[in-house]
Amino acid sequence: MGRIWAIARLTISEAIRTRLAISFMALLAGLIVLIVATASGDGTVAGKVQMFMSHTIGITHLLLSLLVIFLAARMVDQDIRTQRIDSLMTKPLARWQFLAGRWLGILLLATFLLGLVMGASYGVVRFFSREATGVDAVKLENQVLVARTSYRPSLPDVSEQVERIVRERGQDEELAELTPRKMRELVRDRLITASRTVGPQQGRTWTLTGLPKPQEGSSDATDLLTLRFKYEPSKNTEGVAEYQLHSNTILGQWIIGRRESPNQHMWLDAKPYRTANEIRVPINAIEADGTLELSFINRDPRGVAVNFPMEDGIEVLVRSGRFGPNFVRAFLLVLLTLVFLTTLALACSTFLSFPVASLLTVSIFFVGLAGGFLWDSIGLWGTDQGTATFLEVFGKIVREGTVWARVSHTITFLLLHLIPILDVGIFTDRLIDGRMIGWVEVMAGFVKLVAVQSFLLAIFAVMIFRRRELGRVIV
Amino acid sequence: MDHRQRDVVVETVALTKNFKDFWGRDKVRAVDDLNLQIHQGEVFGLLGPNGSGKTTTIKMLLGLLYPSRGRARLFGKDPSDVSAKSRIGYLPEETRLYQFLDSVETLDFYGRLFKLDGSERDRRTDALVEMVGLSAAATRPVGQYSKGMARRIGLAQSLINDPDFLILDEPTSGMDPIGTRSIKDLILELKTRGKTILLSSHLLSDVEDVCDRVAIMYGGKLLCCGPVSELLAQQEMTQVVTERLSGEQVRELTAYMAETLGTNVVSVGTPRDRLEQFFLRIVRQAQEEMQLKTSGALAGGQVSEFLRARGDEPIEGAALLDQLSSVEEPRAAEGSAVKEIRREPVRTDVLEQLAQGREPESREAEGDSVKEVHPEKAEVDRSVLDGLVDGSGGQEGGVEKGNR
Repeated sequence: MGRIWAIARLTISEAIRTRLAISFMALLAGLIVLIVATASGDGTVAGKVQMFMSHTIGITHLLLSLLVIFLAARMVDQDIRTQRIDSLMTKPLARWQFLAGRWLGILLLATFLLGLVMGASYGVVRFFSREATGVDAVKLENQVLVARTSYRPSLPDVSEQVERIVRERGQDEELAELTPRKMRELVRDRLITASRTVGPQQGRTWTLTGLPKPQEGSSDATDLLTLRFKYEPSKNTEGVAEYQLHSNTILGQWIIGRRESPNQHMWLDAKPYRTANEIRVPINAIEADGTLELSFINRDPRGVAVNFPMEDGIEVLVRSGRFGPNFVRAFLLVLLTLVFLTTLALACSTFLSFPVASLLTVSIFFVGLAGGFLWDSIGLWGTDQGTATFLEVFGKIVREGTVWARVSHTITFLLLHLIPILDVGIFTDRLIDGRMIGWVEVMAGFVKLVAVQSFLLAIFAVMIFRRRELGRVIV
Repeated sequence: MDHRQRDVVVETVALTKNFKDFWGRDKVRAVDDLNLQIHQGEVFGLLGPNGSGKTTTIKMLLGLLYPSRGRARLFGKDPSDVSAKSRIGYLPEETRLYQFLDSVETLDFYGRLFKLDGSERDRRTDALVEMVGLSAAATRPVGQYSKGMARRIGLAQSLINDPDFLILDEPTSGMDPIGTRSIKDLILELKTRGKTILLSSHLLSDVEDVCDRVAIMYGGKLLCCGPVSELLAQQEMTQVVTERLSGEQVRELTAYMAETLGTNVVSVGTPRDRLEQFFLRIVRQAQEEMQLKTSGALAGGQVSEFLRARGDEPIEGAALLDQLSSVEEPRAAEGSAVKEIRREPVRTDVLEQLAQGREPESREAEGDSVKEVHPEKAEVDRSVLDGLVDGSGGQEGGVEKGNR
């Protein structure tokens, strides 16, 4: 470890004294100051805090990613190109120790810089939060500076109904042209959609289970749960002056809690559709057994049916942790992406020159940033809306695709599976939305990005570097 | 395994290196079927013109290049073996160090790679910085050093582990005469400690001064290899040095030798200081008398204690020079008595023997070696070496013929 540590110290010293790290930090500091000065959000303190965190983490991740890529790709190449490696590798230093030292040094520097920025950001968030008063303060504490777990109604088991309908209506013109599998999928989708649709003047009840049990006698007004819902109307609505209803709204009644319970909360209002709406009620609406009953009655007089989309139509958010630890977990997830990028850049630099290694790594980084988008794009292509497994998709291509489709999609899917999704916006959005980022997710990220992908890259890098002739001789 | 075999520090067997082009085709054969052995305690010179394969050979010995064929062993192990590398020191042909580190940081860093503890690192760092004469520039980044100063810190880093085997590739390149002299002093000092040294240099006088054996390479092949004394001695001639003779005395002596011994005198002249000795004396006088200061490299101090033979007294710079110039009287010459050490002591017995028509007795009988008589060196036929350096080839010769 002593030798690895010596190389790590050298790496940190090199990054700082050659002013590369300092330049990046100066740029980052300038951008953060700019964000602090311009962050406004939706005009509330909560919005301002959300905007600040979102932009700061995004910028920090981008710049630190580029920093570790350039450092890792440059240092090994420089050592070889300038022949400094001659003096180095003739010391009792194994080649893997050299790479490990460089890796450790870059990551220690990146961890320090990331910690510095995240720590400063946390301070700014707390500073902003002191400005919040009244409803703004409640919103900030319950929607942003909190870690909430999401609960959604479970999908009903409709398998028996599916089989019955297929038996009874399998010869219908609409279904007869489909394969049995497609037929079942179509029927199932329709039944599930129906279970989340409420007709005019009708009601529907969902029961959520596994929620945290409320404390005995809990009625603290600040300890709230949030019902978040999104309406999808069967048709657009017009304004009705008689009921003081605006266009593009749905008048609905929500009953949160068991009907006969004293802790039941009722709510009636017209809210816009195709956008997320929130209702906050005391947490004592949850039963002692951890269940929560939700009822919706479609009170809209305009004769419109309301559907709640599968993904985000109905969810209940319950406080399950504090903002600080959630912030730390977000920090760790950013760090995991830096570990992967450092390893990747180092691996590339063992056989490529600095410009090529850095260009390749940056390209992979940007593919990783767009990973979610690419998955969505390609997932929509004949892959059952992205719900199919890799093997299912691969099998489908091999069975049904043209030669070009087989080649191109195989390469694309392999690349997408090899390149991890490096878009930190996925969990930054959850952080600023006050949603829990669990330790399980951090561990999963660690296993995937570090224990598997980075480890394999490291083995590859050491194998290449051991075989490489480091001495330069001009003949 | 006999004694010689056990003492082998470096061994190459049919060592061959081909450099390939982009398509993997052989482009150049830099080293061709090289068989060498370097033994413990030996100062071994590797000579050859540019592109003869010296550096390639060294880099294969260090594991920086891999042989295309054959093998190299350091202390009986593969060059990439970490335990073997812990016993070597290497001064590359070009000193390439981390330019943002200063001398002390540089040596501290390399000391860490040898897992030296903190106090030992500090001790060796201070001693080496002093030894190579960089005390005044110790806190300046290495990137601001002149080429010669960089060479000095490069040399220091190669010594931080007190190596058993030291590889010096063009060690005096870019150095002033003081630094050159210091390196030669150091080589001889290390030799007294039983260290093994491989010296690659274009400067033939440097090699000649310090090496026990030399190998000459050309076009990747080993042309010849053997002890310096045997390779350079002109066995068919004898040199006599006396106190100054007048022209008349010279004529008489010449006539006497022709008549009595039947021997022709080939040349008669006055021994001269070598320019290196003269330069060193002038600079030392300036340092001692004028107390001139410089922000660059200093003359350097005594050889660091941890590098000296155990039980040796510290050897001051001037005394060390004297010792080097007169091996048989290492402590006799004090101060700057350079001329004195350059002169062979008067051998009246030889003249008497000559006058009596007897062959002079060899000094080897007294435990000294004739090869230490310096004026001979000016007369040595260098046609073999110079021819090779000029690239014009040279006559084949030597004790051990290499493969061609």
